[in-house]
Amino acid sequence: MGDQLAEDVFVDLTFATVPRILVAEDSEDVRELIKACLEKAGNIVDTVEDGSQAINQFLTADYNLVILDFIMPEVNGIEVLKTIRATKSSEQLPVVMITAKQKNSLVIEAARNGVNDFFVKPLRPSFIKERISNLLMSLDDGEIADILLNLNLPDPNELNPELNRKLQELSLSAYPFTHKEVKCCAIFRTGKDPRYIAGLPPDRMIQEVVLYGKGGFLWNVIWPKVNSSDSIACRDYLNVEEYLFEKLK
Amino acid sequence: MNYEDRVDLEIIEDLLEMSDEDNPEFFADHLVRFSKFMDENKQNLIDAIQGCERGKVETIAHSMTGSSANFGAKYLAELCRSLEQNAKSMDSGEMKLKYGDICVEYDQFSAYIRRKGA
Repeated sequence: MGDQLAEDVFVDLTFATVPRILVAEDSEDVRELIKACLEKAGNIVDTVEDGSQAINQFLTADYNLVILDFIMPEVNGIEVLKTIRATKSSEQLPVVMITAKQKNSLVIEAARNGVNDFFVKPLRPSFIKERISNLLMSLDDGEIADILLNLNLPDPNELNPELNRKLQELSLSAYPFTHKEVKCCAIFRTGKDPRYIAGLPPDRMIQEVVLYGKGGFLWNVIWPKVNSSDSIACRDYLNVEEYLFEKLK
Repeated sequence: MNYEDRVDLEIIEDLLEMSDEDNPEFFADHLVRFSKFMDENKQNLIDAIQGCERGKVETIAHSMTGSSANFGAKYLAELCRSLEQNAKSMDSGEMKLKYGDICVEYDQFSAYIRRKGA
């Protein structure tokens, strides 16, 4: 099941559906920290070491979000921000800048030039993940709808026998999951690259989809979305999670 | 004084939690990067102090402040920030004393963080 599912998802869910983030930061340790945080949350991350590389990268690839350090070699973060804003508004491409507390003048200049948010040093991994997730969530309802509408399994409502057998063995749930439900939960619960989720062995998939999902996902992610939108994505999403919630509570 | 008063435990715990099944070596790798960065910059810093290159001292101390703070080395970051902010007014002797304090605290933090990550 895992291989077949992974193949299907690879075909259907292009890179455009997985957030792609550009990180421009000259300090290797900070750069790698941010990259690890964002990849852990399922994003595709490109990193560069200076402002001129950031501009080149921005011009050659399509990003969902850009994270910039203020002070970098060659071209500083403000100049990169100005270049981005010459063609992309803050709604089209959010930009987050990394700053130190004492650099108020830089913060004001960035705000004037259309920055969306700031990371204030010291950087906390949990904070980075949460803030980026919120920024991307506010923008990608259309993409979520695309993912759900274009699920191209042989039969999205077909039961997922391997997963369900395992669930029963572990006494986690006697309720059968369909492919679509598993995929939806995986995508929405974790924010991870769905190809990664789909390729997991059953034990890990259960952990990702069910165990973690029961705790905070419903309250943190689903209900705000349901209340704020009546899109097809949200309706499908609600059905899946009601289904899980009723059976797992 | 408890050494943990000198660190930001929340950040350190966050970093430790980054090591999981997907990326088991994250913390160890991050520690290697931090140590490499600090070792290189400690040398650059003493070279700049001895050469009385105050602008360079400020820049290097600024980088060390950021990296230390991001690793939860709160007191080490304070020492580096103090050097960064006062480099213009300090004489060479004062900067060397501050550099000595930074080295001592860095060694203590390194020992502490290696125990935490073990």
